[in-house]
Amino acid sequence: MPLNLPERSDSKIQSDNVKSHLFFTEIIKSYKKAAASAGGEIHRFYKIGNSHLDISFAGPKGVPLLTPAFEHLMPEKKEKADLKIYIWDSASTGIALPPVPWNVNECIRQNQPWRFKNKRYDILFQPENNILNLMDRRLRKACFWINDFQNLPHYEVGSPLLAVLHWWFSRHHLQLIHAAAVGRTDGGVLIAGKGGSGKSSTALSCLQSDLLYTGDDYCLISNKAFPVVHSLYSTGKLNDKDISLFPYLKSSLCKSDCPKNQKKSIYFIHRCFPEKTLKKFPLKTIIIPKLTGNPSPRIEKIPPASGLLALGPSTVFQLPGFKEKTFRNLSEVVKKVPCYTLELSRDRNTNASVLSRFLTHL
Amino acid sequence: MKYRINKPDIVLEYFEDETVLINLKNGNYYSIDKVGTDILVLIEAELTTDQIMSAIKNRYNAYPGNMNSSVEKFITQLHNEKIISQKEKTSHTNNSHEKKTLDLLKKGPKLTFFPPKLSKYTDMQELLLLDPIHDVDETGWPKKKPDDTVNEK
Repeated sequence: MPLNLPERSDSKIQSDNVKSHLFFTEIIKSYKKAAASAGGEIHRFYKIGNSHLDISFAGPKGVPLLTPAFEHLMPEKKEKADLKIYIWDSASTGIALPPVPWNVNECIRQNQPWRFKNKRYDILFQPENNILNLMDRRLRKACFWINDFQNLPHYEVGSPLLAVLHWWFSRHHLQLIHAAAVGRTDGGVLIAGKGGSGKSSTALSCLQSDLLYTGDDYCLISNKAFPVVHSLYSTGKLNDKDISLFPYLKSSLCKSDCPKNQKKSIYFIHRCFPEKTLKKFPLKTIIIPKLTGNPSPRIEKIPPASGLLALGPSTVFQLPGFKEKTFRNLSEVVKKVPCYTLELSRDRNTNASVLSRFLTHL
Repeated sequence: MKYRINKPDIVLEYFEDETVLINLKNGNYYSIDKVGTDILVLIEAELTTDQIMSAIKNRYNAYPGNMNSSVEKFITQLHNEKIISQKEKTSHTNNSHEKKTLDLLKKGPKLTFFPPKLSKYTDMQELLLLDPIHDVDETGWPKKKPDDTVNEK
């Protein structure tokens, strides 16, 4: 149920730049109060793509929810953070969100996301889940607030902090991309397509092959001389009805606590298969899976435009902002590597072994 | 009659034989075949509809059907999909770009003409709700009508 947010009464007399600055300052103050109230800050450090992140929680409540997806990216030694992300909720800390200096409640009543962007700040409020994402690019600080961690949407466990990370990496030479990724250290494949096209199941099938796992939903890609895929979340999602087809994922260690109304479960791949995790690889090809039910898989070359159709719109429309830049970045990627369709067979292991052999010969 | 591509709502990428377009405002996206891509290039080069017809006739072999009507129909389709809009008469015309494009189309052997094809995909519209506004300029808010709510829908 969307909350009505407290609004500042003097909101009409300030410019949007002043408002955003004051609001971000108040948010950080509230975070500090929340941390003091919840027993202190808890820090987790990660090396994601080219950036060192310090993710700080006000109290323990959010840690087991938002950190398992990044466990494979813990650095060997702590480095100075490029980006600090402050995370808190009001329910477990007793600290409310500071008054919002805009008239946002009209949008909230309509259950529509509300967004602000200027040269320095990005703000996104998602009323459906009472989540606020903020980024101050100049200070290299971001904030993620939710009213109550008890109501954290399941997708945030599998793909946490997506908005903030997209804003950050869009300005730091990496592009978030909606695709699964598997491969070897000398080269790998992006598996692109809409939800339900077989991305996750193809990537998870590769856990039983010699291919290593980089992600099943979102990855990062850099594209200087040649494209390099970087792991972001070591998670995988599966429909509960399909779990019997993946018996090696049945360990309870691997599965997140799933709300009863969710049809998909989230699996923390690094926890169960640390040796199968691949943090980055040079991109050799883009594969678009097609569910066919044929007895044997078939790979066929397609034009780069078809690769962009599979990769572009779903990435562009799932990420908040930088849409034209995202489209341009993905266009450049599909022009540098060949694209293929993989007609999936009913036998998942065969799909994985065919993909592995194909990659070897590319 | 001249048209212009509705940028920045429309983003597009030209490939050798195909173009991919996305309408950032409504979530529709499209692919356009080779002939359609040539027409789009000519629209972007600010040629009139008559000049586009003539350039396409120079580029492609005679077509048993009505080539002009196919091209016209395609341009109308682009217009109806809000990919292009009519260009105001007072707008500046880029003559150097125009000439370059005409020269380009005259070169090489003639190709086989097929009626241009615009394939439309609408399966991303629901995702627009996840991100209500498009990238804006450095002043912050997108321009909106006085009676709009804070979000651009």
